[in-house]
Amino acid sequence: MNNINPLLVGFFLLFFGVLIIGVVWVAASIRSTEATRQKEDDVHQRESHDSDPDLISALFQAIPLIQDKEALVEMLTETIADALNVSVLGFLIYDQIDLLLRGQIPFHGVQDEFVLEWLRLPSPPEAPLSTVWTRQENWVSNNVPQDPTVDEFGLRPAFQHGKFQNVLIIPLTNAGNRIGILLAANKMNGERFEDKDIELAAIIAPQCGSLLQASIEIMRSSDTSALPPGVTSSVVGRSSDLDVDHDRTSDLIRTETLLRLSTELSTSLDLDRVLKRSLSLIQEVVPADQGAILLIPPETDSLILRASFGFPEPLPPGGRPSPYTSNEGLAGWVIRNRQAIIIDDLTQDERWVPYDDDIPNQKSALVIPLIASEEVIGTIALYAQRFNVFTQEHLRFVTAAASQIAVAISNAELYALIRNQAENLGSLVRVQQVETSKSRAILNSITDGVIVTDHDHGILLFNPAAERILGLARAEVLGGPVFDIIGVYGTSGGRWSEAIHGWSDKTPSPDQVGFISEQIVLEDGRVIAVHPAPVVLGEEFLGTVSIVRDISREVEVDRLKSEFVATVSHELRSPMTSIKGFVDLLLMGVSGILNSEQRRYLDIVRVNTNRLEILVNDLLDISRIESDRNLLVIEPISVSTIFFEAEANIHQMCKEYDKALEVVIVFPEDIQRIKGDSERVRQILENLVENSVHYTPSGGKITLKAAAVDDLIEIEVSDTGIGISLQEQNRIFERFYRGEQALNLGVAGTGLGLSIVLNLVEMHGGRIWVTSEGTPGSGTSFTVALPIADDVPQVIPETGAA
Amino acid sequence: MTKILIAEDERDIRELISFTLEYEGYDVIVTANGEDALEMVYKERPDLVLLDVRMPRMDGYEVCRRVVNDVTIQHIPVAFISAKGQQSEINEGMGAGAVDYLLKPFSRDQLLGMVARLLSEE
Repeated sequence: MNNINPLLVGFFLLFFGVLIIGVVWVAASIRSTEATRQKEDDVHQRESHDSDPDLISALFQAIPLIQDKEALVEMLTETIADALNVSVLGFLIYDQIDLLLRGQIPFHGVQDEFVLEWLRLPSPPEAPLSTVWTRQENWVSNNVPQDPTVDEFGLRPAFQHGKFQNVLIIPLTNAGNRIGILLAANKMNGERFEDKDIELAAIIAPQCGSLLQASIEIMRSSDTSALPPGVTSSVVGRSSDLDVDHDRTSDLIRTETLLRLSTELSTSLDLDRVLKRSLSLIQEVVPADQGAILLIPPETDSLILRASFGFPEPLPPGGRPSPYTSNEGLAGWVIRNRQAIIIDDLTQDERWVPYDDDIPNQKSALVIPLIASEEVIGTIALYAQRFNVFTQEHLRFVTAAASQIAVAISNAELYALIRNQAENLGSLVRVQQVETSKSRAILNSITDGVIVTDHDHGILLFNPAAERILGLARAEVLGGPVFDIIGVYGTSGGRWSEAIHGWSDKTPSPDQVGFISEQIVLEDGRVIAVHPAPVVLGEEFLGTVSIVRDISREVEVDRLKSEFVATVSHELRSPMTSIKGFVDLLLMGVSGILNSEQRRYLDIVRVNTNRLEILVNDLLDISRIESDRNLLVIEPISVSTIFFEAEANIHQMCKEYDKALEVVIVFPEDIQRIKGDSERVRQILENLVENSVHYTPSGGKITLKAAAVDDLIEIEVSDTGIGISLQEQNRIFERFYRGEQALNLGVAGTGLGLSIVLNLVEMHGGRIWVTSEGTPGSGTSFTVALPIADDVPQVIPETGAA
Repeated sequence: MTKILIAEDERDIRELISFTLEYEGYDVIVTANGEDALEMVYKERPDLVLLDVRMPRMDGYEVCRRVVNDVTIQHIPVAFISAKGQQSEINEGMGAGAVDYLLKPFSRDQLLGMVARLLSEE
């Protein structure tokens, strides 16, 4: 076997062509989503190994260099051994005559003597390796010395001889037939076999199976005794002197034909063309008058006539349905039995169903199953108009060709599948591109800045408006952490980064995220509003979107408004001072005694001047609250201090309005302090007690109570006054709303007081509510809940009342 | 007799304040601008100075600051009577060294109460 056997080389090249087609498609690596499950798995399985470019490129580079069988096999075992990272790799081929597993091929990494050991191993079906053999399952052991199944298989001596630590055995098949095993092993300290190694070996094994089977076929056909009578063959490798005879020439022709077939198959993925070329190449070797390739389409039984020669009518692209199903005729028999047949006399064969009356009289036939991945996918049928045309040698040749054609067909189907997927993906990508460019156009043209970050806070998107507003170049910030931007603004960006940190630490549910607004003052004095929001898909935090807007103009307008209100209120105060003051002087009688009518009219002027004064004060408060929303000076506030101030206030007012009211103050000695802006909290309490004084008749009582409830301090101002009707209770916090009673009593006011109180309470994150039975004289109770400052009990001053 | 200086550019209010205080028996001297007010503080040495904030030539804040910064007259208490009611304005007045700040419009009781308190504190 030392000489070059061109026929064998041809077969090897032929099979390698196919192997490479398979591997090339692996590299295509297009994910399929809606396809035949079988194919899809196939794609995925292969896809997972396209990360093995070394293997692929090694095979590609090696093929043109291979000059003989041994070099080829050596390359094959070495390449696979490298890919699996094993020190020992080889093929054991089942010899049907001896029922032995034989080392047909030198093992990579093992001396010849060792291979001889293997040759003597008992063989299936009786014994060892039965798992691998009969069930066609992979077998792996990562701890051979202690694995009991090694003994069961009777492999202990061999494995011990080889000092194997890890062994992987993969069945080898060809066209559905078991032909042997692939054995990979590592000695002590070798790497374990992982799932990915087994998967890779399982993918390579069928290709190797085809390859090895072909080599067996060739060796058999080169053995004269194995050939049918009448066919002589060269005895390759025995005597180079006898090489030149006509059979040798026909061998060369066949080899060349197969090489051309291999080239055709591997270069064209158009199935119609591939099959037509295949048939005409076969026709060059086999003396058939007609030929047809019939395929079993998925889901139906009717065979498709996919390619033909010698028939009167040419086939349309994609073929046309034949009158046969896969259960009848010669083709049906071949498909059912997975067996090739030669019919020397069709007229005597019961299975024969003539195709068509028009076609020439067919006398003999050769029908071969097309088998891919152990599945019969169709047949090749060759007909002749004479009896006894087809020989065993023809059968072997067409069988060899058929296995290539079958692989080409399944590859072409795979290709079609991949192409469909690619087209689907392509159209999806196009749709997405259109959508993306629309979105981009929108993002580029809106005047608000948009900053999108990923879950790691890296900036993914920074639109032109954001560049303009923040004065940062997109190229500088893109990909960097968003905190780099926020950090520039110091503490004014605090809530912005706090919010983003919070969301990434704990994915918020959509209803948890309120509207967050942060103002940042840039170096150039511009004011920027930031509204960050999380992007959440289901439970997963994907990132954030922050909208930035230049609100310098709005802030300026707001400032002008406040200034205007301040100016107006100032301008109103001066004339009111004169009116109020001189009316007081007149009422004092400094310019002479007034009659009762004069006194009444002047009283009206006085009361209305007071109303105007309250209005001006309230307007100022409202404008201040709106502009100073974020300017609370938060500090601990003592309940006793503000209560006794309020008490003093009540007494002062009573004196002014000539009322006698009892004041009761109730709070626990150890009550905590309030967390708030003392100025504003005083204002809240002042407004409430003023109302109580106004609406409580002389002789009544005002009670100030405070108590800690959970993390809030509840301050209650209740009176024994006229009460508030239930309908009015819903409206008293509205701006400028004044109750019926207030109007009847002629109490000076603007209807802004409680609206201001509500605003102030909400600024502190507190709540306010009113309770009143609504019947006259039942009294009213306002309760304000404000946050607790700390849990250090306040010290009550010795003398509270001011 | 207790002498009180009133600096107020608006004639009606000047008259109201001076009348109210004279009626109570105080000796009242008046001026309509800040510069004159400061001059009169030196010349007349009043017991109390009541300043409007917005006045021609020199505003009340400045008059107050100058009084407070001169050891020869800084013992004289200065209070504002102003229509400027924003917290920042009140803060500025108190920051200038005033002892009180009365917001317009004021009642007779408020005015007399403040004057009596400031004079007694002195």
